[in-house]
Amino acid sequence: MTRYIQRHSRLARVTHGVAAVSCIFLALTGVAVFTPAISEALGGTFVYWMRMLHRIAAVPFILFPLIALVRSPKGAAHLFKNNIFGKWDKDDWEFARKFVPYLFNPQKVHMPPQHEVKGAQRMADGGLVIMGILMALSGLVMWAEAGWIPGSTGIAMSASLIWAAHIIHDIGFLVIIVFGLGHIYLGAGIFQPYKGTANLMWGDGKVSEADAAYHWGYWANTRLGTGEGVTTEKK
Amino acid sequence: MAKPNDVAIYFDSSLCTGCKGCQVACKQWNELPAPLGHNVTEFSGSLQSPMDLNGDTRLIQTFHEEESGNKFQPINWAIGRRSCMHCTDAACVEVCSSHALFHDKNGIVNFDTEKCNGCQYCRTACPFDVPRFRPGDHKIDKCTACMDRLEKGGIPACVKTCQPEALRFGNRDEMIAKAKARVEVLKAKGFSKAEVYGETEMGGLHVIYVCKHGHEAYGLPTNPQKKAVYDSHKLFRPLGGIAAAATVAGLALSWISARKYHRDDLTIDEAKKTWTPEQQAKADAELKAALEEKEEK
Amino acid sequence: AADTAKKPYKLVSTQEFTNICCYCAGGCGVICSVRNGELVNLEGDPDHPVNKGGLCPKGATMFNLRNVVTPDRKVKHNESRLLKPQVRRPGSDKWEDISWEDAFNEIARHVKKTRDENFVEYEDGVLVNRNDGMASIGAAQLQTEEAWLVQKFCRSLGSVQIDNQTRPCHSSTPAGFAPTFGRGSMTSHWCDIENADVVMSIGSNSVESHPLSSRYIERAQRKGGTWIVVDPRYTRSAAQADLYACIRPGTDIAFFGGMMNYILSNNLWQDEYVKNYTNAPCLINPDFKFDPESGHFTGYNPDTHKYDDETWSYQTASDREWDTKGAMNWVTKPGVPKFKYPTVHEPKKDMTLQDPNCVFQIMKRHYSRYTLDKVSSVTGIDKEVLEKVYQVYTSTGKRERVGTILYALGETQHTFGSQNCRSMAVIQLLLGNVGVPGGGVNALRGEPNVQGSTDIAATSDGLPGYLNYPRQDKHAKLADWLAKETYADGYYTNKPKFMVSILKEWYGENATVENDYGYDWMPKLPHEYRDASMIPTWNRMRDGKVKGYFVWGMNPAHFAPNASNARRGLAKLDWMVVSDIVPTETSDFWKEPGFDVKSCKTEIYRLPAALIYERPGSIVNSGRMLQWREQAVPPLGQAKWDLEMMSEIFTRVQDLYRKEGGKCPEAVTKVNWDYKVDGKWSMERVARALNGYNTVTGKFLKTYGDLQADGTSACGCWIYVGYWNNDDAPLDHTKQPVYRRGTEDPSGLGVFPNWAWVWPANRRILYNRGAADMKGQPWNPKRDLLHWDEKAQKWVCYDVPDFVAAKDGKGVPPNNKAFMMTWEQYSRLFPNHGMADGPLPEHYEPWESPVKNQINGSQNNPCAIYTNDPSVKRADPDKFPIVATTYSVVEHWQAGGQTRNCPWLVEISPRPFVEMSEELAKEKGIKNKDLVRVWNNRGEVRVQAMVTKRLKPVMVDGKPHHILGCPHHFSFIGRYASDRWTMNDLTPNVGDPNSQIPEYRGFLVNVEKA
Ligand SMILES: Nc1nc2c(c(=O)[nH]1)N[C@H]1C(S)=C(S)[C@@H](COP(=O)(O)OP(=O)(O)OC[C@H]3O[C@@H](n4cnc5c(=O)[nH]c(N)nc54)[C@H](O)[C@@H]3O)O[C@H]1N2
Ligand SMILES: Nc1nc2c(c(=O)[nH]1)N[C@H]1C(S)=C(S)[C@@H](COP(=O)(O)OP(=O)(O)OC[C@H]3O[C@@H](n4cnc5c(=O)[nH]c(N)nc54)[C@H](O)[C@@H]3O)O[C@H]1N2
Ligand code: HEM
Ligand code: HEM
Ligand code: SF4
Ligand code: SF4
Ligand code: SF4
Ligand code: SF4
Ligand code: SF4
Ligand SMILES: [Mo]
Repeated sequence: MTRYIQRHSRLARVTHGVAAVSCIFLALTGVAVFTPAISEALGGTFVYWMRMLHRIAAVPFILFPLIALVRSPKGAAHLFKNNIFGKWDKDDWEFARKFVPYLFNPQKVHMPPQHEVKGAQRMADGGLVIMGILMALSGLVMWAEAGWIPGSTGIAMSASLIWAAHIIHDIGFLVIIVFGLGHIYLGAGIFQPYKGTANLMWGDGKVSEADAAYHWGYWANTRLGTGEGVTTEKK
Repeated sequence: MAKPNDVAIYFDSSLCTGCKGCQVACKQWNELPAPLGHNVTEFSGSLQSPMDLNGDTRLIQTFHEEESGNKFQPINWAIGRRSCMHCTDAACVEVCSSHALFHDKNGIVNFDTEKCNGCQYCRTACPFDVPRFRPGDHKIDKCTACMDRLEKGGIPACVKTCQPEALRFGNRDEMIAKAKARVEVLKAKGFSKAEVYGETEMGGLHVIYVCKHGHEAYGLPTNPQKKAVYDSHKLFRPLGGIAAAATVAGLALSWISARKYHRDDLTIDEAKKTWTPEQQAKADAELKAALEEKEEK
Repeated sequence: AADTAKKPYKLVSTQEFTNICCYCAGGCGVICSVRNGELVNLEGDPDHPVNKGGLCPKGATMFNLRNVVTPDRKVKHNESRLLKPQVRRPGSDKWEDISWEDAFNEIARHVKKTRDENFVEYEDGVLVNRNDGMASIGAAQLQTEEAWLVQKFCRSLGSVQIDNQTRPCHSSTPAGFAPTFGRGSMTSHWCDIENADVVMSIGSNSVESHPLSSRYIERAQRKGGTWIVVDPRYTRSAAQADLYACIRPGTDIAFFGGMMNYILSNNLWQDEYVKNYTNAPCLINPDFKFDPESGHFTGYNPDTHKYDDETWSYQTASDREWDTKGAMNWVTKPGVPKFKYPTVHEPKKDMTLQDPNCVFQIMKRHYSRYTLDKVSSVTGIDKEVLEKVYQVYTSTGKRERVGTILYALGETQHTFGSQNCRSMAVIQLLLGNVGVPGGGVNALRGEPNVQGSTDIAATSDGLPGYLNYPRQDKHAKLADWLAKETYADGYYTNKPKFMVSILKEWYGENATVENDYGYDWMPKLPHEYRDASMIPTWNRMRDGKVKGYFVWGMNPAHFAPNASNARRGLAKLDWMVVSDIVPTETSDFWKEPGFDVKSCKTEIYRLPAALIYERPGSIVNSGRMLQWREQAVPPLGQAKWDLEMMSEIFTRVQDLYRKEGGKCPEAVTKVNWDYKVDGKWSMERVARALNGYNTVTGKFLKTYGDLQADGTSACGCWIYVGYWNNDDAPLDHTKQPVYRRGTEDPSGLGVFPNWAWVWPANRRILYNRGAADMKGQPWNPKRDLLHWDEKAQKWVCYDVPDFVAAKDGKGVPPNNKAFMMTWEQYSRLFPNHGMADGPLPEHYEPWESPVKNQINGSQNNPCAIYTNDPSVKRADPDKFPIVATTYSVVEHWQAGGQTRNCPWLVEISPRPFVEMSEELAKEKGIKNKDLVRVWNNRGEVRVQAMVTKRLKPVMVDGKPHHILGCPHHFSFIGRYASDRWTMNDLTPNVGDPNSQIPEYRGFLVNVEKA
């Protein structure tokens, strides 16, 4: 028998899933616009359709988080207050300091216990969320400028607005790529010590006592102590 | 800067009668459509029609009238040409997200429709607001200087059709010399604002204008600048690539070094034992607070 | 597209055919590139000396007449083209398909019935053989060969109610020129404009209407020349000019009169020229007077509104009879019809120009009333501007300087249009500018082949080659015609040769000296010959007197003055045949909104015509150049050449008369219609008839000298002898003079003598004796078109001399015979006859005018015609104070049948509009683009306003008057663009007494926000 802690709600998981898939899709299709070589190799029409898909993918990317926000404003507030802008304590700093060496030598480097969201994780997830929002805003500006549907004439805009949108979109892309790759690496449990984390977002949202204790010691201790969201299941 | 054997289209506004022959000759040669519906195009209130370039219109003549105050020649009627200027420092080429736009031989800015993905960055970057999107095939379209004709030793369709010889085509330096000479003649005739446009603008245009009434009257920008909107690409495109590559490389390394690692499945209590006393105390305190909070509820 | 190197080059493996533009009379050369029987490209012919590869927007879109480009950039056939013959049955509201065979048979049947029922054999005791129930219009869009057949077709069917585009267009030009110079055409040609020191465009907006002219005018300017534009509107021409004068519509004679006064009172005339090459020294009957009080010359009859020109005659010095033993011995040859030979009445002259009755002094007196102040007050031209224009233009009166006048409809389309044309001719003579390179009075002709159709006389009052058509009152028999029309002296002593050759071609073998070469079969014009022209014809249709109508590429429902009146006429016809490339307001007049279709019984045949590059044939440009069009592609759908249609119908009518008899069947059956080669109608074969051939040997006539009056030559149009004269390849156009492509220009004056062929006799500049002084030396060595080489005793010519330069192989030393087409052999500042409304141009107000005539006591031309028809409904200036004038824009063509069906042109000029000044707009509360209503008693239009600084109110007699500019291209039929309203519903159907041209310019309307 193993104890599990419910870590992510269904809503959070669905929202994350949709956002994650569309985000990856947006990145891939975005890269096509970014990269002349692709147009040259596969033809402009191919990339044109990539661009159109980019727009289509943007819709769930924007829509699902918004739905989640409406359905569970508390969850969203929690996400921002606790998971992104939460206070950093000594252990958070230590974790952050050790994170890089840890990535390359998990055998030797030992991490301090963490709260619900690790300090560094806060930075990464927060980065993704905030960049996602900025991507959405800047993307919408670019979209409007080019015309909403194929064939429509775009909305005339000041050069500085267009410029800002592009700068933001470009920075956002860079950040999302770097953080996103890291996030997937860890989140999907490719990184050996993180094995099984994928289940948190892509499975039932539950974390086993052992995994919780390893990743988020303080949080696990509290949850298991109070029994909140804790279930006991056969392995 | 433009090269010595570059070519240029010469446009002399003081000879242009605004007949728009060039406009339609362009469509004829390049097989560009006009609307096929009934009474589709609206009256513009001016002789200019259509009012702006569009995906199927690479060239329009523009009309602007002012009173001159001279009763022997009472109107300054500025009839201009709006089309690609074939800039030496072409913003569109720089920004093109597909390398569809490129500098052809002779300085002409040509493009390859096959490559264009319709992102329209070129349009936004162009200081003359030239390239236009074609909804039909999702591509950009603009003047190519009739490169196919040039390659066969011909001259652009618009130039050839011009009855009053307002349009010419030839070596760029010769066209500039011609324009300068013409401006002198116009000045002597009393057109004090007459000037050449295109010699230095954007590193040298490959359309050389004689502006009879000064360039402003023709809506040509003073000291045009490429719109800096996409400068970020220059920095971020490579940066994005490098960052992504570095991240992937780093993570791969991490994966390799962590491959052998297996952690034990510890219960929370077992785990706690590996913590420092300070950490254990903090954990206990937090649990206590949580339990108290629960109690209160 | 041009943008990828991947596509094969557009012209790969195409075949090239040369053709000539189907729009203005510029005659620009085009090249049609064809692959697999389909047109893939059409652009200017770079070798062509006239356009040098250039094409204006209409020329550049000729591709669109057959093919259009779809939004996905595919090329497909233009859906507006007519593809099969159709008929609209009486009372029906739709077109039904019909086979060609049935259509021809039904039409032939209609023709025969109409002819038999409306045949007039005798009138006032004269055999007239006329079919008054049938009329025909159009020809100027057709090939010359076809245009010529139009008149032969109609007249052979007894109809004299024949007109074509020249009537509403430039009919005033020959009417004004022929009495002045002896011929009626543009005196020079396009490339020559470049040689001018001063160009004056008046009533011509040539950069829009004849865009090729801009090349030559602007070249002249670049060489230091000055360009003056006189127009009520600041046009695209005005924009390029050095000097612009804004003139009130219809006041040009005041302007010209003022210029003549300026010349005559400031000693600016070219003395040597005027004294020798004009009739300035000739003395006129002392009874001749002009009375400013009444505004009439002597001889006016107020009841008939006509002049008796007896007092306008010369005082005779001596009489001379024809020498039928010597130079005129040909008249006595066997086979030449007998007639009374004319006598030469040598005029009295005063070479000092002092005699008060000499032409010079008469003119001086007459125009002394046209002072700067008066002219400024009448025309609205600012006095300083006026004086500047006079000063600059009259500077060309100096020997070494030359000026050219370019004009068109602003001059011709008035109730005094012919006098406008004469005014310019006179000014040019006074300044010594006629015949000189860079000079001339250049009537910029309109329709592509209007020159050709004028030459071949597809008009009620002419015979091919500028001969007068026989009238019942003057020319009952051939001998009458010969006696009255043959000139006593000069080149027109040869008229019997021209006439007999026409008849010989017409009736072939059936024409013999015994039967006067068939002269009696020809229908004769009625006494009121002007009633056979188009305006009264529509009135007679409306009154039920005309039953059948042939329309060959013309659109009277749209172009007619007071067009709704003409449409009412069409609705009364029994039948109508319309040959066109597209549906027009004429073929589809019953589709006009609000028209009562059911009660309209007209049976209408709509026949699809082939395009100009879908058939061969020749065309004549404004510079009288005949050029051959090659057939590039087969006709679209079932379309046919007009030649085929005409011939099929005519031969069927002939068969009916042969089989069934009827009224005077011989007049139809005796007609020669041998235009087939190998069983197919052949344009080349018609060309042979037009050029002429020897009836004995069958060989082509080489030159005018081969024409005979004894029946041994047959020739459709004498002035064309030489355009198709190579017997070695009678059916191969590439071997004929008309297809010559030599680009050399030995004179450097733009003559291009080896390009195509120009009538007369390949002369490029008419009256070119005027290029040299009395010693035979050029006035200015820079402009050496021809000169007398004293040593060699011969003329050195870069152009074919238009005078007798050599006789019997020897040079003829310079003399004063500079105008060999008048019997005097000099030009006439004062014509004794030939002008219906006076020998000197005099200002009258347009038929509708907001002001009083300030120059004489007659408000309007006392001889104006057709004014009494009830449909005219003259506008009262109190209710309709605004002066309207119509014109064209460069992007569209006339009735728009062609250009409104070309998407590329519709896009660059999509909708109808009227132009007005900011002042008028403000007064009426109208903003740019607002819909406005323009109306008068005849009709109304609702179009958008173009409010512009380019129009200004004019100050007349101290008060401002508004001018409204009304382009006239839109109406209710059209695939890509049409409009419910027709501008010509506003214009008055009144006419000029000499030319019967309508007054499309300067009429009254009112305007309000709609
Ligand atoms: N693009 C184009 N070209 C054409 C044609 C066309 O329809 N479209 N039509 C062709 C034909 S058939 C013809 S006949 C010619 C006509 O050629 P034009 O006569 O040159 O053409 P329009 O525009 O009819 O008239 C010329 C000018 O006359 C001015 N005008 C009007 N009334 C008066 C007046 O009373 N006095 C003076 N001095 N000027 C006046 C008008 O403002 C106009 O600018 O063009 C031919 N070329
Ligand atoms: N208010 C006003 N009215 C005017 C004028 C004006 O200045 N003001 N101008 C007048 C003048 S100058 C003129 S010339 C007339 C012109 O009046 P129209 O001659 O009636 O006008 P177009 O549009 O030239 O008509 C020619 C027709 O011929 C057809 N066509 C073209 N090619 C061929 C062919 O090969 N065969 C046949 N069968 N048909 C063909 C065309 O489709 C078109 O419908 O209008 C006159 N009307
Ligand atoms: C949510 C909303 C988003 C919207 C509306 C959006 C919209 C756009 C638009 C309109 C463009 C301009 C190119 C074009 O016209 O096709 C663009 C470019 C791009 N997008 Fe997005 N995007 C969004 C999110 C993202 C995300 C999440 C990523 C990647 C992680 C991304 C990556 C890119 C990239 C790389 C480009 C090319 C940038 C450039 O060349 O400047 N986008 N996006
Ligand atoms: C296949 C790819 C991905 C996997 C396997 C994955 C996995 C995970 C997992 C396991 C978590 C939970 C971490 C935790 O419980 O602390 C998580 C959280 C999160 N992920 Fe992803 N993720 C993926 C892609 C993305 C992408 C592309 C985004 C970017 C927009 C994203 C944004 C987030 C955010 C914002 C959170 C935090 C949610 C929270 O704190 O409640 N994820 N992800
Ligand atoms: S063709 Fe020549 S004259 Fe006509 S609008 Fe173009 S540049 Fe001007
Ligand atoms: S004008 Fe605009 S589109 Fe043309 S080359 Fe310059 S930047 Fe490019
Ligand atoms: S739209 Fe312009 S910038 Fe974008 S790919 Fe096409 S040509 Fe290049
Ligand atoms: S050069 Fe060719 S593509 Fe460019 S405007 Fe002229 S005709 Fe059109
Ligand atoms: S309309 Fe006249 S100027 Fe224009 S292309 Fe035709 S012939 Fe030439
Ligand atoms: Mo005309």
